[in-house]
Amino acid sequence: MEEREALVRLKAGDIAALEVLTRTYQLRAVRAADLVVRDRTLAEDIVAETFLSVLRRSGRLDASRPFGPWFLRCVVNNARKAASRRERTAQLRGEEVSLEDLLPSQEPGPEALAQDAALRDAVWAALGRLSPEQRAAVVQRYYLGLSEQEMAAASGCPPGTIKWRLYAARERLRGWLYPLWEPAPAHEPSGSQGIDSRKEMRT
Amino acid sequence: MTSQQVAHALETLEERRVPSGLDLWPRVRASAAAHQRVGPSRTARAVRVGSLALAAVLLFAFGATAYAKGPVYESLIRLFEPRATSPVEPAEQGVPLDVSQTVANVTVSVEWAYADAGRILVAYTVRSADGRRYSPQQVSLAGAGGAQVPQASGYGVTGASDMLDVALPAGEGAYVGEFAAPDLGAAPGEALALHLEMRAEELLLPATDTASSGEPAAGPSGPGSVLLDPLPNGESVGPFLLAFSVPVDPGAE
Repeated sequence: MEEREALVRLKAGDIAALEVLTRTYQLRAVRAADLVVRDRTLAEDIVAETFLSVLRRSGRLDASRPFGPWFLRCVVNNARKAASRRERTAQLRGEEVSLEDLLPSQEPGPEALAQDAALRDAVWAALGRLSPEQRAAVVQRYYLGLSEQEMAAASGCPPGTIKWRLYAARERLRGWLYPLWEPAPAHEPSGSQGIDSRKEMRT
Repeated sequence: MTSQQVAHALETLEERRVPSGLDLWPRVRASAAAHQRVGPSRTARAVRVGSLALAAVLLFAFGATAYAKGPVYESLIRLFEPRATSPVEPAEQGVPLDVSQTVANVTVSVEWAYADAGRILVAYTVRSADGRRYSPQQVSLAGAGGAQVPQASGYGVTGASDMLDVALPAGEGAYVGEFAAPDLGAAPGEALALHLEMRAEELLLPATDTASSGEPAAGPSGPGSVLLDPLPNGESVGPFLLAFSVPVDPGAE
């Protein structure tokens, strides 16, 4: 069953059609939510609940429009709100470790795997230092490959706000992770107008 | 730092944190099936059963009386909303309302409402002047054009509860109804005009020692099965028709 047929059948109340959509988008959705909420269990809860909300409002689905981008925007939006709530009520004690402690040695060595792990840890810790709004912006732009216009439409914010969130997030990440990254290539002078990573990230 | 490097780092991170063998479908399927079983036609009964069960727990398990420090609906929402993906903070979101209608000696009051693109929450009370207890029945919500919004769930309380920190007077119940999929034409930030309609049925609780008939069960039976008598039907009052509006929260899709 293709996606469009699944949407038509879901609108008619066929739960089996939801399986097609779930199996198609669950992995991307949970990974995107996890990047924002930093909790895999909560990310799975959010994605499952978002699929159920799709079922609840299946009568409103437009089968002629792509389901995936809309659904993933909903997931990230829900994850952003969940992360904001969580950060209002709890300190991220696990993020207190210094980034410098996590940065891999600049010496090239044979422990490439260990260095990769350290790089991941550093990126993860740096993401945790961003606000939920900035994390959601980074995930939407660089993980889901949304354009700034699409992000603005998804979040209900003016494009200028989105642009600023992305700029601020990128600058903070750049400052924390600078030693880890190779210099930007000449065709991308500031890193602010990178390629449309959506093409690379389609699975 | 390039966009490609950021994207690659995020991809690599998540490939390790969330393996590709993830399968949410069994869980989604179970919840979806439950969602379909509780259709709008059974909602009123679900609300009644839910409120009855909760009332029983609150009345018999929590004997001490306390007084509510805030509106009862806030306590209810805080107790039940954590199950939702995007729980509502009643003190910060939604709008307090004061819309009432009295029929015979029963008054229904809408006290608070919240709406986003996915659902509507309506908090209301049902109270009688003579202390008799009435429960909401045939609850329905409609937009200004008459489009019906199906009810997804509901919960309520009567009596006193230390857990909720509330003590309702005799003959009063507080309820919160959750209505799903409001495709009512209001954009985020716009006011959504709504009509809440219901009847109120007197709740006739049987005496404790007559809760079970003691008759052998006609269906599946065994040492663990007990046949319960259906509750007798009490006086039905209504209909109640309450109109109000609530802005659509732009923060939810």
